[in-house]
Amino acid sequence: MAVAKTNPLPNGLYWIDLFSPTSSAPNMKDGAIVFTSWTKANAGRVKVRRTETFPEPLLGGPIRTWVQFEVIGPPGAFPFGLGYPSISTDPNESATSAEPVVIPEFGDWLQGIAGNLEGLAILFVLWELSKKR
Amino acid sequence: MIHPWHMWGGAAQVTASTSSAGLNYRTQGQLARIEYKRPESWRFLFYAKVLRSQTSNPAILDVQFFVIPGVGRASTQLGTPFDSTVLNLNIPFERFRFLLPIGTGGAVTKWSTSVNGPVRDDTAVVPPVVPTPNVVDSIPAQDLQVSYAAQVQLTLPGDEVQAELGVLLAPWHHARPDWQAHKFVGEELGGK
Repeated sequence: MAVAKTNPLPNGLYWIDLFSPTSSAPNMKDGAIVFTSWTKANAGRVKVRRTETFPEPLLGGPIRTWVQFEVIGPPGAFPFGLGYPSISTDPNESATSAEPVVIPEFGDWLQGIAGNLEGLAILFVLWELSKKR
Repeated sequence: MIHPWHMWGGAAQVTASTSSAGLNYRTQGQLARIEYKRPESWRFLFYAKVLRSQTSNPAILDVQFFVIPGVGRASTQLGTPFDSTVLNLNIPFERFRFLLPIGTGGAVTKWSTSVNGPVRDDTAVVPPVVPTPNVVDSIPAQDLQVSYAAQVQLTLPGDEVQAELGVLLAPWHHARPDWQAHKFVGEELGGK
């Protein structure tokens, strides 16, 4: 997964995970505030397209917010202390919308093979009939 | 597609610069977060890389890593960023220190896949009669957080330090229950 490491960020679509402190992880900067300050300072050049916020993990830790944003003009220096933004390839990308790759069950394979054999048999009959004409 | 393990590794850049004399630069942030839903033993690679430095006096870049592992009903934070006014009393999970020379420097990398845990017995003689190593090379966790803190003292205007630091995490044995359901949400099939 490609990340952007140079400033200013080129025009394009990016996403990043931001972390905010909680009682179980109090000693950290609020990444959401740092990011919001950057977007406000670059209004008109940066557009937030979507956000997803996740609850605090059961066993503690910071709150995670996933943000997809678009750079439409040369912005001021991105605060790389938040981490490097990933280059987004899909405008509809989501932190939770990953579609699973599913391989067929064994029964489905058999059914598929049986279906193919059926098709081949029909083609063979048609070919034989065409020879007789 | 965003893979389920995209938060198992993270990197951040630290840029400290000053336009006035004397700056004790400190920063901290989050690098990784794992919610594995079941316990595993996690291997780790910590790294820190000075990309460039320009200092008027010798300086020390202090990079620290902190870990919150959790399993079942227990979780604990191993090290607390800057919880002490005397930084040396703070014991992070891992720590790298770079001695930055006067003038221009950079392109120095430190890394580790194991750390030294704290001394077990404060009353033992130093050095101990029987060595008691406490080398840690994996972390048991179902939830795992990794954060960092960095600090450098800059003395004169124009001094600057830029560094990258990060962590990579992977379980000892990565068999996903999803695979039993023939689901490959990380596009694991066809790896080369």
